[in-house]
Amino acid sequence: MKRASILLLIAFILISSTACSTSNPVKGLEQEEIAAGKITLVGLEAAEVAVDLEELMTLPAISKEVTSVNSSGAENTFIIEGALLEELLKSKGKSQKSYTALRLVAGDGYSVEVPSEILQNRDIILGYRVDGEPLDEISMPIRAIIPEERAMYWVRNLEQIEFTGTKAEAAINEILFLEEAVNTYDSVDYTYYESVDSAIAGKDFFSAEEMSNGIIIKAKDGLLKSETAEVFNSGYIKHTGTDAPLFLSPDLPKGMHVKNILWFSAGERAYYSVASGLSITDRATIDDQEGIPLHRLFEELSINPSDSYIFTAADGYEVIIETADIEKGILFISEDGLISVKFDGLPKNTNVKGLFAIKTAQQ
Amino acid sequence: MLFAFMQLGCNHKAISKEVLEVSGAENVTRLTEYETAGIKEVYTTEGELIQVVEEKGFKDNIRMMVSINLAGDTLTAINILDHKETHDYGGYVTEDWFLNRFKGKTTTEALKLVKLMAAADNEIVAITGATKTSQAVINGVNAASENYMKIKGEVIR
Repeated sequence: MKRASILLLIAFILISSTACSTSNPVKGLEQEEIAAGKITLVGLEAAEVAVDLEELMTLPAISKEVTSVNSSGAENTFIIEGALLEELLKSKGKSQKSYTALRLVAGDGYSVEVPSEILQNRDIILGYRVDGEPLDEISMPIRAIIPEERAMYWVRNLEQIEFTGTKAEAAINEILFLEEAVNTYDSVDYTYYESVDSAIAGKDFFSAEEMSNGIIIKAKDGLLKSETAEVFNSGYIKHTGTDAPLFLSPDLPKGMHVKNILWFSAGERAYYSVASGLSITDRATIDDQEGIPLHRLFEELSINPSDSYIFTAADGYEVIIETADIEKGILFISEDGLISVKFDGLPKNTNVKGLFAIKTAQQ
Repeated sequence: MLFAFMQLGCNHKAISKEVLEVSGAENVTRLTEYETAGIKEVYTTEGELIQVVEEKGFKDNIRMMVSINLAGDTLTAINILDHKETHDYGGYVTEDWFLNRFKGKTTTEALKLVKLMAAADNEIVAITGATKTSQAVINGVNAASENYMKIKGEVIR
């Protein structure tokens, strides 16, 4: 009987201690971990604002089933619980809708800019629990989730939110063709998985002034990404081999790499990959030659309107084409691998082989 | 020297079946006195020293088998026995094109991780996007090489 009482007492102590440890609002997390798990808001007010998990958990909680898709296409559905960034900002008298952009920054250096259209239309969840459990070590302290947006915006190990805003984009006045342009820069050998490819340092493409508003990169699949000059300068454009053109850096998380680039631009200049363009753009035909209609290229890059445009070959040959004739032209890669243009109904001397650049004529 | 290695004592710890299967070795002798917290198993076999090493990768421990040629003091094979690295990132750790980067490297000089291209003999290029995983394998191999040199030194003395 005495032994049974002792066992009952031990059981009571064990149950009591368990109950104490689960009184925590995030099951499995100790109070110190909650206090330590903080994010920093930069640019919201004059000074940085630190927000800890405890403060987030005082905000209205949201629970949502979301599905992530990794780069291999594998889906993972889970329930994220957390607070809305909008609620956090509301508690500080702000709204995400009043910002033109913000940047989510992770502890491992990963960062992604969230543009205005997402801030205007989407909820940003600052998640602190997945499927009823605390975040794993890699995702702690917060995992940002923007349902219905690409996984690049689902930032694990969120440490900072920078309210940067985006300056007005400059209109493009010069298009350089990547396949020709790469011949004018020094390439380095870059080991990419099992192969050794060629890459050009990001800092070689634009001047500091051109990059003052950052860089925009668009991939063939429609992904549009803004990067800071610092990030772009730390990386490379790999222009041969698998996934090329590819923005990557050995010092950046792989999630910040951009495969199969269509174009990238800074200031008034854009670099365009004709090979990428040919694989996604409806083609027009002139004299049995298929190519990208020039007007589609101009639309894609929002080139500045001009009365005429100057087409320059790598060997210095130049032709000036009136705006009205642009729709008669196609861009293609010749049999000998040169970027070329030709125009329906224009003299043969308007054809350019080894096309290096198209510029707007003097404004 | 080979004879000396074979003369080393062993206790009665079992010889791992996975080591026998992966290495295809026969006449294996376990050298428990050279096992440490990170070097889980040490074996000699004809012409080789085989070590099972664990190192913390990006997600969890990576368990690898490091085979060293006794005559040449060179790495002959690295086999990844177990890992939990992320599929599209460190998951490439089992690929031959990565593991082959270690083959033939000397055990007398510590290996170093580099990110773009290997310029020196002791440099290993990281798996793209998986620096921590690559570093873990290099650390494991370096630990195995260091242990091997110690065993060799003691046996020769």
